[in-house]
Amino acid sequence: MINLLNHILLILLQSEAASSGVKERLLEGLFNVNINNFLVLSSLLFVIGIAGVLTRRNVIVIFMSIELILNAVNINLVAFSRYWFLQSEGKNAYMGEIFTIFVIVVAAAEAVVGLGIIIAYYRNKETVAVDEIDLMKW
Amino acid sequence: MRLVGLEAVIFYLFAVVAILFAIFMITARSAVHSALFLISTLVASAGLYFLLQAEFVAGVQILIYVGGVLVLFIFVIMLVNIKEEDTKIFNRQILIASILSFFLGLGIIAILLQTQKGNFFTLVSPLPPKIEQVQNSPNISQSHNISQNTIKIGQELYTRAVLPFEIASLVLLVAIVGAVRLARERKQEKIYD
Repeated sequence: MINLLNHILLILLQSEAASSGVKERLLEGLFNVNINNFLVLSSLLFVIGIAGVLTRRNVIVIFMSIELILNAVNINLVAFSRYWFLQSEGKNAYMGEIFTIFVIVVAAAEAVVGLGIIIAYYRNKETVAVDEIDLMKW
Repeated sequence: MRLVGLEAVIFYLFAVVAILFAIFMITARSAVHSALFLISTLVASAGLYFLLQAEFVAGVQILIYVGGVLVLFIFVIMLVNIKEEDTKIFNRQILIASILSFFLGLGIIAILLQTQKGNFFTLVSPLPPKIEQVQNSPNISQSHNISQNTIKIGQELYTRAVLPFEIASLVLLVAIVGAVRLARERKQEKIYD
């Protein structure tokens, strides 16, 4: 995404300072997806998830945003696992993916318990809006 | 790690789909629409896992997230029966929260730029060293045409990562018991107590 924006910006500017060598390197970098692109994607998904947690009123959508955050972390872990696989010639290469599986397991457990709490609360108070859930505020 | 040509195009496709549907998810009015957009985002990231040659994780992602957790979410949405005429979907701290998360994203990307010493966008990583992906052991020699990913993950999971594996099963057991305890009604509690 950022690469794309930068590329478009460069084309728009067409400045003399941006010599053809730089442009070629930029094009090469753009169609040369390496770990940085995965990191940028993962951080964007993470931030979108944070924004969802902070702004929404519905508790269920907040839980979905938490799942999105965990998914961003998983993308990071799998990308680094692949990176390490290529750097280390296959030694210790699968620990990142195994950690991803544990993150998925914990996410599933967290979703189950959280949704159980939501159902129990809804049965008592008939609402799932976070700004109306203020029973423990004095 | 270097993806060129068609793989790069597929990466950008999945990345754009994931980010777009994530934005749709946090702005959708109905919670059911949010769940469907989240499914799309998760399937797109499963595609990215395939691109990174992590086939087992991609399969687990689709089976557990999309097939299990999201179905649970939709089930709970149906159960709690949210009123659609409730027009406010954001709470009153939306302005400051969106500004804060914008600057958080800016900060993370600035740190990523910092780590590459200025040639982040033009970085061309060297070609990876050649790796013979398949090192055949005699008992799996018939299956050397398929990817070794699942076999390797299984071996690691049952040898080096066996203690976290057992702890994960304990976590799942506690989650099951806790969910059953939390979600039962008063009447059921009286019967069982």
